[in-house]
Amino acid sequence: MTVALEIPTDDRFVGLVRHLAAQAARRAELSEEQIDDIRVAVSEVVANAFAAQRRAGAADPVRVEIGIDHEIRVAVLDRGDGVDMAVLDLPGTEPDEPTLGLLITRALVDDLRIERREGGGSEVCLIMAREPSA
Amino acid sequence: MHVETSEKDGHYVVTVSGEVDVHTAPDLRAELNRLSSEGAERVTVDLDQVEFIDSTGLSVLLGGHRKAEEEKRQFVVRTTSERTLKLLRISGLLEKLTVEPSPNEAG
Amino acid sequence: MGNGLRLEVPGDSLYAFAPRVVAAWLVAGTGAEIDAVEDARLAIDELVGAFVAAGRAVDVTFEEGDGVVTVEVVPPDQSLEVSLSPLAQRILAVVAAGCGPLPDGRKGYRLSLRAGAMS
Repeated sequence: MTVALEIPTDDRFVGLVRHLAAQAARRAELSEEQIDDIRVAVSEVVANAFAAQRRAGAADPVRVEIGIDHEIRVAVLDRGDGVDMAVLDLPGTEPDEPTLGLLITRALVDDLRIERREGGGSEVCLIMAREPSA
Repeated sequence: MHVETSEKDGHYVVTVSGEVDVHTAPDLRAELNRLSSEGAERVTVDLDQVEFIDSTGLSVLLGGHRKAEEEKRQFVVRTTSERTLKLLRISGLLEKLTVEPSPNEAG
Repeated sequence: MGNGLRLEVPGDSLYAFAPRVVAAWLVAGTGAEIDAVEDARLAIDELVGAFVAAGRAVDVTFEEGDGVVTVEVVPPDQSLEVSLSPLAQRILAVVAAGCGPLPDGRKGYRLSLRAGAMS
């Protein structure tokens, strides 16, 4: 079960998604550091989704699905021109903006997946699990 | 939301922090029921660290108050928050509950 | 309705915090004072909470206007009524600029939240 937010491709809404994800992470009882990491990760992924949609001229809203229990799961769905996970592992290339964001995101979260959507666009899923109590 | 109960000389103070809503209000109710079933004679619910409370939270307070009245126990709601007092006022609960400090008292 | 800002809230109370976050963010973004932000949080919580407490999912759409954020709360399942408790109604009467039925006759509510003026 998730809560889903659909937002227009407007940069000011990155802050809203960041804030909502942080609140969700708090309720999933993640640590303050993890909550900060989620804020960065989600900002990167949503910014990428907006950029992909602009490149493709897509007018659809970007959809963000958040699920919480012992972890937080955030899925960001767009109808943009997409980016391939494989591009993150290409040796010797300077990362461009979307891939740099994803490199950062992958380093911050426990799990990151990108899938192509039927009908075009990408679904980027990230997971951060609650740390076991000390 | 967190609920922490301390006791001194038979007076139980339930300190509530965070947001009290449809999801978290049952935890507060459970704690108040626990204290009631253990025969706590004096209970104060301290709302000073509450960041948000809605009608489900208020209903729990009203329920706690009613039960205490029936069982001839003391049940007090403590808040100094203007926001919480405003909510108690507009919901009509300010007159029904025992609220400290009294809005008529100084500080 | 409006600019495409939409929140799908499941009937699980675990997610009841989400509408408050969105409404508060929107109203705060208009430069409204803290009281208006807190009123907005409470108003949307009371309205959406009535559905969530009944285990019903709702779709919440937001539209920013001049001095007001208009919210429509619509259950995808149109077959059942959800009514507001007297306490919720009393609170809404104070903290919302208005709360009434949807103009197109669907089951649900339209809520007006006081906000700052658009520049």
